[in-house]
Amino acid sequence: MAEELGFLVDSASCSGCKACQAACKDKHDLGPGILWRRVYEVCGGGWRREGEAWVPDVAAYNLSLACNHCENPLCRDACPSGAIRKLEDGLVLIDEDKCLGCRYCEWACPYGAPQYDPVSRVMTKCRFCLDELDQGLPPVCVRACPMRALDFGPVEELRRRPGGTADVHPLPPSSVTKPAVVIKPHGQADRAKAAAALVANREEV
Amino acid sequence: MVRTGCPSHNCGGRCLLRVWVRDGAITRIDTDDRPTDDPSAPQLRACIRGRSYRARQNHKDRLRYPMKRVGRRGEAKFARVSWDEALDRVASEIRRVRETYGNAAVHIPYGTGSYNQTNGRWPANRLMNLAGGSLGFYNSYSWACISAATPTVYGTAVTGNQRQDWLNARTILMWGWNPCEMRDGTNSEYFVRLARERGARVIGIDPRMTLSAVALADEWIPIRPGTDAAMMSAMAYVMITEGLIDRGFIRTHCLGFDETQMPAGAEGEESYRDYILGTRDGVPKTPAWAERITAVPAATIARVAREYASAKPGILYQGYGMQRRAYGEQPVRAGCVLAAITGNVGIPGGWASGIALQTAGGAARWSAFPLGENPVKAEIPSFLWTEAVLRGRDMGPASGVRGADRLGTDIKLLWAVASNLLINQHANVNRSARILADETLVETVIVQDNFMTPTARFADLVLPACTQFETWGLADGWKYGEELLLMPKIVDPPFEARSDYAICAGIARRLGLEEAFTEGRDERGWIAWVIEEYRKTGYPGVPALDDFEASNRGLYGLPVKDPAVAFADFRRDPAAHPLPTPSGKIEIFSKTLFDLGRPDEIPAVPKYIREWESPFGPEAERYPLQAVGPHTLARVHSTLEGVAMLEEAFPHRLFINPRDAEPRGIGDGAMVKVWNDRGAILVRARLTERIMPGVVAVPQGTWWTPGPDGVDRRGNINVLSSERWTPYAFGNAQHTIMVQAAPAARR
Repeated sequence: MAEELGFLVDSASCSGCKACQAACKDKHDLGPGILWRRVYEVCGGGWRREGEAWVPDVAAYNLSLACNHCENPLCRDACPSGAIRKLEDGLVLIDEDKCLGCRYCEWACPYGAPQYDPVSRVMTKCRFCLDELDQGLPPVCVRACPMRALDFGPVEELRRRPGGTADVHPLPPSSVTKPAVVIKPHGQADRAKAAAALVANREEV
Repeated sequence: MVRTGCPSHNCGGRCLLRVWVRDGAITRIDTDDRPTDDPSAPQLRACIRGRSYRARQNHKDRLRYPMKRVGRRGEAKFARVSWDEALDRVASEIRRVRETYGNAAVHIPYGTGSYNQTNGRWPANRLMNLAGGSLGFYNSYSWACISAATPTVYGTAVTGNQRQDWLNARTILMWGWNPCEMRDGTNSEYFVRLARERGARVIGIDPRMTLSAVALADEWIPIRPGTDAAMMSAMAYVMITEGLIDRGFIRTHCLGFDETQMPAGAEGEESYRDYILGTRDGVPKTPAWAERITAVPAATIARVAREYASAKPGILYQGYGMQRRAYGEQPVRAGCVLAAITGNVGIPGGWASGIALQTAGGAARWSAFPLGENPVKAEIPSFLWTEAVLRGRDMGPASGVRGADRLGTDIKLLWAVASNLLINQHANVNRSARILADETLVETVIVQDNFMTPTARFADLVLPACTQFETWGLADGWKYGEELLLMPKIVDPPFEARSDYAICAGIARRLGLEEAFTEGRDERGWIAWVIEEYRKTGYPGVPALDDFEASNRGLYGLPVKDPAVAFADFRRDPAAHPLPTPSGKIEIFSKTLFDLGRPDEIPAVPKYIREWESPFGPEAERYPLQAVGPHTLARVHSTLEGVAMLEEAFPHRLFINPRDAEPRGIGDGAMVKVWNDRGAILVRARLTERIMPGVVAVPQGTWWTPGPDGVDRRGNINVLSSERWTPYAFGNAQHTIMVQAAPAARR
């Protein structure tokens, strides 16, 4: 069996510039509102006045997420037409010919990966740029990052790298879907969790 | 697939694109795919702006035909005309204005909407220089104060080490500097990341917790806009009183630090040390003093001072926003002085501060297209063109005029090429619109552009220009100049659009100057010529155009293995390698500025000066919020407006702290009216903790779209900005504005 592929997201170095999102949209010709890769801005905390000064206690960072091609894909389980399959190499793909466009998978996925295309009226999502992989190239999002904060590879190998986890605030516990993603958390992630930080750019994702 | 330089709109980067074309149309855009990504020559990865370019290129609103105005000016009523009629009219207007008022009545304003040698304003400058000249300008809307003030300290603007040297730094202060959004040279953000991985501690000082502060900074220190020189002065106070300055370096390399080294003719005047310690004005510039001004805790200021002075070498990288302000010269000089008194000048891992242009390794030339010589010697500061419209005939050196005692004429013909300056990007849009609408002032307005911009709406003639994908071009690496990017013509212009060069050649023909203008070359011919020019000046190995094109590499680079350090020779031996300042030394006290005799606004040592609109003046009662207009990834200045993928990623918003929003009843996503005495805009609010209380941000560049009530529906911050210029550089102070905000009334 081929090794399962996953993405590595260095949240500590992600600026939220969305070059990855744009690379994905241009390659796949995704229309407005369809984001196979989304960049979530997490922000929490507040301010206090100290003398004449303003002192921030603000925690902010970004999480760039595509599809995590989960070991336990809830999208697949939710699909009434069997349009979603998990392949041998771990990739979770939607067969758009079988998709009814019922959007159950969209509701089931805790990461917001399946994206409804109002033109073709089916669900779409990240395919890990299989055509690029076939040419020996990384997915376009990985190649796009000006900060070199994205990577990919066999997920077991990514998990062995230091500092990675799939449990970063405010993502759901990784035990839910067992996502094939490794995230290097930002230094402020713990503070953000303590401050119950939320996704601050909801209208953008 | 063709490799090409990203259309160069003065974003702050120069990246490599791969462009796919099918049936004459661009179908996909990706970026640099070189197999290596070594720090000596890293990949030039495009940002979301370049990656979104397909939508701009294929946009339904591209200008298709030449048009003439048929309504009142500014009404934007136009009728299609032939190219012959349009070009005849341009030529006859140039002739008429030239004969009636003289060549100095013609002005080609600043603008950076196209930047590839043959497209953009350069061909127009070349043509006018052949046609008797036109009123020139100096300086820019980007760098007015920093390019004028840096040489007052160092005698030169070439103060920067090459970026690979940043990896040697232990401390990096990103002071109002946000390379993740404005890039400031492709890969600058990446080099900071590499420096951090090598152990540098990075501090971001900015009223906003920018993308760079999040991704690059170990600590973010919010500071009230316009008060940077106060914090810098208090840092100097800490360094001086705690003995953290580099006394040896100051003694041998600097001038005017204290009373022992004052220049001749200024003995006994206030030295920098006098100012900092308050020996003359009775105000020691202590951290507590600065806290009241900057809103930065005194203890934080002291800690940063100790860190920058002790954990050396260190970089105090000055962003450009703080110098587009009322006294923008001061933080530039103050930052340079901190670099000097800590001895961070001329050493690996250090940084002299200032504008930091590059010396070795092929500094950016921006354009090598030959302009010829302008027979009109008079120049105005780029920001003062409206003054030259209103009172040009009497303008002289007191208004920043160079090369003439008086202009002798007002501007009567404006020819804007790839420039949305006249309305959108100049300060105080409503004022600019009133000036341009008066047809007795500027008699002729010609605009060449890709779209019907707010500036084009005020044109008498609109000429459809092609994009940079539709003609031949060449760009060099932005600021850092380590590569040349070839920009072949990839697709044909739509409908009747032409290159700026071709348009100018057509006008030249009508003025009897075609041969002199073209020298027999078309756009491609000039790029071949320009490549040879670069070969002579720092790129000896660049392939000739035919080979460059055939290789489809798109790029010729100069890898930086041994990064240059500015002022290394001066550091080693200041007597043998003096600076090009009057004293040959680093001028902490500038006798040149002292002799201007305007100490309140142009002090001889850098000082904090309260801005003319600030939270500390009576204006704050009506307008209590400071507004800044940062650069955004959604646009390059006003270019890329109307691209859905960008608006989706970075919607145009008023960024406001909940502490300011909630008392005003402003909710997240609500439509808000923001106003001051100059005008009003509508923009939706984004409540965010990532901006300090008392400050709001409206990213600059959206296209002015006034409703019937005159209120701008598209949230252009220049409706609110002021045309007042800075005292020494005659630069734009567009970020120095106070505003009020409230929920927009329901209609």
